[in-house]
Amino acid sequence: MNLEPELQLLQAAAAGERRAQLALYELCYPVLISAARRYYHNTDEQMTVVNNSFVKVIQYLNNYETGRFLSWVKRIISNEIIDEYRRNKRYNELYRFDAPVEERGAPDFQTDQIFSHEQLQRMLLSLSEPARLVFNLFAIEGYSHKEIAQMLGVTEETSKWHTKMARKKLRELIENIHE
Amino acid sequence: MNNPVKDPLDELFSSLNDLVQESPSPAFVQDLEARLDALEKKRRKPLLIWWFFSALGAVLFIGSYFLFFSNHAANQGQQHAENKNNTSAQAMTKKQMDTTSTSSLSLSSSSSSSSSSSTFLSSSTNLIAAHPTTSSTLLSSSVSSSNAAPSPDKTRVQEETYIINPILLSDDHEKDCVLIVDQPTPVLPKEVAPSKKRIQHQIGLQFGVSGIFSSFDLPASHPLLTDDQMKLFRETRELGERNTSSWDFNLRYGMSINNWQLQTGLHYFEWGEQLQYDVISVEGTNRYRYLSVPLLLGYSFDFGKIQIVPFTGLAYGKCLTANGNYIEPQVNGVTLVTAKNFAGTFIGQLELQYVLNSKLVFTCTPVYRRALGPLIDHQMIVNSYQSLGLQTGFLFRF
Repeated sequence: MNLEPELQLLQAAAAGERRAQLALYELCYPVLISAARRYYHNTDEQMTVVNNSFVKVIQYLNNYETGRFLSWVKRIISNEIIDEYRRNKRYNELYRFDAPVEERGAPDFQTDQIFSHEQLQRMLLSLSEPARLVFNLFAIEGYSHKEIAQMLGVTEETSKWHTKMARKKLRELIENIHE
Repeated sequence: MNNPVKDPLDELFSSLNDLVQESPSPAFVQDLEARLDALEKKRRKPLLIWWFFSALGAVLFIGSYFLFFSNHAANQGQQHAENKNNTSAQAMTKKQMDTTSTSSLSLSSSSSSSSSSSTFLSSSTNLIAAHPTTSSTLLSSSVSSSNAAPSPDKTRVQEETYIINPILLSDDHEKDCVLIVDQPTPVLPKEVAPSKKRIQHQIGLQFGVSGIFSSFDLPASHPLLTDDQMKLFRETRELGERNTSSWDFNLRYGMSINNWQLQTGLHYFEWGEQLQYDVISVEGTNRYRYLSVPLLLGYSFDFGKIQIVPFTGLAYGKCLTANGNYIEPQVNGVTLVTAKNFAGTFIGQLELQYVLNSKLVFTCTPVYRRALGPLIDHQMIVNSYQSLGLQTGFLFRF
């Protein structure tokens, strides 16, 4: 599905036309809400982060030049979530597990079962906040540990540790569903 | 971005990246609109600042113009008065001298010498008046000369004697001349004589800044909220709402009758508060802008060039910007509110007036305002507002 907006719509939204802004919101909403649902249980929290991110989209629309608009929107909501994480002073939890992580070979996880989006989201949301944040950024959004370390202000080892802990927990959850 | 070789578990969860087409609920849209309104308000701020500085520049320009104009007019008036004084003094002296010359010349029998002498005397009136002693000596010599044998030749010699006298030509003597001529004080023309007006009008412009202090009350209970929810709502508002400041503008007309002053005009000011609700990550500023017509009564206490005028009265105004946002009573979003279209305000101010000249007055005015009654039409948002500010500007009296 091609969701990239037309240039005219972007220009009108940047100029402050409310109709255009709402039309653009409709277009960005699936990207924004799918990201928000991976991080937050609560609808109010989802609404806050989705709408704050969209306001930033409007605010910085003049700076957007070319490229994939929705990827840019995704990046904005990721940054917003990280900022929100910092604002709510949960940041120190990240430092609790600053220990070296053993590099292991290829993981041995295999499953034939098909999971719905809701099931996967529920599993993801059951992770601790730091683990969920790092796993989302690494496994789903595709950032490297180096990038995550820079974004969150932690070491790469910490990022790897949280990813490992998240995988361990998720495997357990999947096995429980199997049983 | 990370390595393309992915853990199968990561692969499984990355399917959450696939988009599903869905539309936002009305609650999302309403919340977004409130945030976009707040963004729009922020954007307008620089424009307001631009207007403020432009208006301030205009006031300074107009003030300077009036200051220059008034000083120029005052100088011209003074010069005119001096000229008139001199003229009247000249006229008086001439009259006196004419009498003297006539009396002295009456002793002579020659009418031609009399006219010649008279011409000379009138041409040197100031010089003679400046030095009564000298002039009397000269006159006496003139008289004695004329007594003896007035002839055209002798008169010419006398003329030369007066004209070349260096003492009489110096500037100092000219100054003395005015002082001496002014004794006894001549009667000034009617239009120059100072007269105290009982009624005076004034127009002026004032700009300033006010600190707005907002407070709120909550109803004792609400059918949809528990006591704990009410408590949470109160605490969230107490933490999330702060005082703010605003620009003020006052285009005023005043009338003074003796020491009493009546003031009206157009008065722009704002009510509102700063918001920062961390629980829903909303921040911004509510501003309810009013353009009011005040009616104030004051009494002027004069201390030379400084006058202190306490004013008090009411203003009734039309709302220019009525939209505001507050946190929902359930503390889960933003509620939109509207301020009253017309509202009354109590105003008290202590104006310090510095009289620059008869036309222009510089003012510095601490102002206290209080909104009369609740300003916002909402059951749960019962706010009251007060403000304290300082305005400066110029008044032009006419």
